[in-house]
Amino acid sequence: MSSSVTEPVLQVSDLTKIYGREFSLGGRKIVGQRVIGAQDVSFSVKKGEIFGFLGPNGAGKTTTMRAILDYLKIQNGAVTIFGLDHHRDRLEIRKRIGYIPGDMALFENFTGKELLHYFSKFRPINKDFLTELRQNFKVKLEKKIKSLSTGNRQQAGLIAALAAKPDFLILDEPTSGLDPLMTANFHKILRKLRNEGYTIFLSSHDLAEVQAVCDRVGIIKEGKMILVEAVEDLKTKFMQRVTVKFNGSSVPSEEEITKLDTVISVERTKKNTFVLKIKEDVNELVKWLANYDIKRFTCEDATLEEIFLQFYE
Amino acid sequence: MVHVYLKNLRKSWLTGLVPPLIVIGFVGLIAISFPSMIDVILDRLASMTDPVTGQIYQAILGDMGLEGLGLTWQGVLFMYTGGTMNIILLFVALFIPARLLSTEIDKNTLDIMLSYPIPRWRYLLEKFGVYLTYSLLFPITLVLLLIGSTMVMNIIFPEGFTYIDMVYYYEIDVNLVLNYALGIFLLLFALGALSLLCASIFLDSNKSLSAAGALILSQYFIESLGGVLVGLSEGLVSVQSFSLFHYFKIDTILENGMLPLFDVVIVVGVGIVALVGALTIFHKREFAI
Repeated sequence: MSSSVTEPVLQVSDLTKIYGREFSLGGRKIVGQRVIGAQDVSFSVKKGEIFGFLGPNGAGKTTTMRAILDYLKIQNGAVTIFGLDHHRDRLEIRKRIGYIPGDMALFENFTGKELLHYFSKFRPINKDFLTELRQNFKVKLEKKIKSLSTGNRQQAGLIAALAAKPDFLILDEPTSGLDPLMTANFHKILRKLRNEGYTIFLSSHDLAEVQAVCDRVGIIKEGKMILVEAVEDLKTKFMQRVTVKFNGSSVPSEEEITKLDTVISVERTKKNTFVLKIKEDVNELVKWLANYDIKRFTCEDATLEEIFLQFYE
Repeated sequence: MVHVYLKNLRKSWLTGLVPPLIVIGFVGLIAISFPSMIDVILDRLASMTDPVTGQIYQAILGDMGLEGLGLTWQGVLFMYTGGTMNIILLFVALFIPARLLSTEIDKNTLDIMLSYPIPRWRYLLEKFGVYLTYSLLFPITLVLLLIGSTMVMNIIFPEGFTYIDMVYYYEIDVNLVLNYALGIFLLLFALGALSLLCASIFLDSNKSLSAAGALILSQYFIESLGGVLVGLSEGLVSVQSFSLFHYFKIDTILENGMLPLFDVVIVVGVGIVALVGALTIFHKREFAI
């Protein structure tokens, strides 16, 4: 663990990746079909944190991760890991990172032990940590990978990738295929690593997972990073759920409520009861409601899922 | 250390050993059955070396340059090993290197490997090294088989054999065998490197195999069919020189007493350029989803 505390472990600045080719032929520029994978994506992951990376399918999560790992050539921007350039210093960086790709596949003719032995030649294993991993995961490493179930393969892959206890982990949906118990054990390991100062960059579709382990979260949509925020702040900062029950016959229509800037959505649950999703500031709503006779008013944090869906839609 | 090389060497022993075993089995079978089939086998050799009928064999099996050997035991051995090796060259050099990468892409194992601290070019080179190591079994097998079977025949039949009232002895030119075996290895290297180049460019199994197939099979047909068509136009001789199968013929080895230096330069040169190209492309290219 040699990174400076002040310097982020991962720094992504204006990362742009556009798929498709552009070339000149006889002085004419020929442009193939171009698809934006990531555009001006900027964020950083600090030492000792778990950073969640979220977004709907096709939003650019995997493109960004593969660009960070220098699997993809970027058109613009810069990526540094441990302060080193991700392209120029990729070998040096790889000595200190662990990567679990989405849809991870392993050498099927290997046993789990052979796999560990093989990978240890490139990145030495931390034996104490390996023992801990084996206690938390129940996969039999003596068996050939091809004879294991999907969940057990995932466990074997996780053990192989984590066994070196690398300083920085890049995990692309690591718990897909794991049962709830193994997922909980994996989260426990991630939290322990974080507490020891290790850094984790985690892509996930599982919002409960993000809520359970992540310190900060970044949301990417249509190739653009639309939000980077601490998970705890998200609830209070971005959405609250307000239930209003009006008294008497003076009840506003849904259209009137929707006109308020602070209101994101309105749902009429009963004749004179509304559930509103509102942005951070409740002042505008409270002032407006003063014109009415209110029987009941409750305000609570929205669930993380509701907040994410707000950004996804 | 060469961990990738050792891992792949261990894991691909079956693929590596089967083709040489086919050569041993087939040519060995011919050697064993030779005493009882002398007439049939030598008639075939006579047809193959005949200027007219030989062109038909040449169109199928390629020109092996058997003319200088005559109707001898050595001629019989080279007739079968040459024909077998041309076919083996086609399939081994085509299928194995072209699939070195695409199988990893198809199985999705390359993603995790590339995250380890090993230069990409070295990863590919070590994998190609496994192919070259198993390719070495061909010349070694050939040398052992040709020299060994000759020694055995000499022990069992010291009086030789008779064909059309002429007595022949079981003799073989060791220098020819060694040079021929070396030539086979160099061809496996060069053709394999071309196939690897296709794999490095396309990554995808089907595209890699198609491109390597087009590149290697076209060379084979330029040499085999081109040789037949030379009678129509002498200009085709120069076209044949674009085929790697055109080099290291038995008669040119006999003539020079060794592999012709020009042939070595061409074949090894093509191999090195293709290999460096494959490694460079693989090292620099991107790996899209």
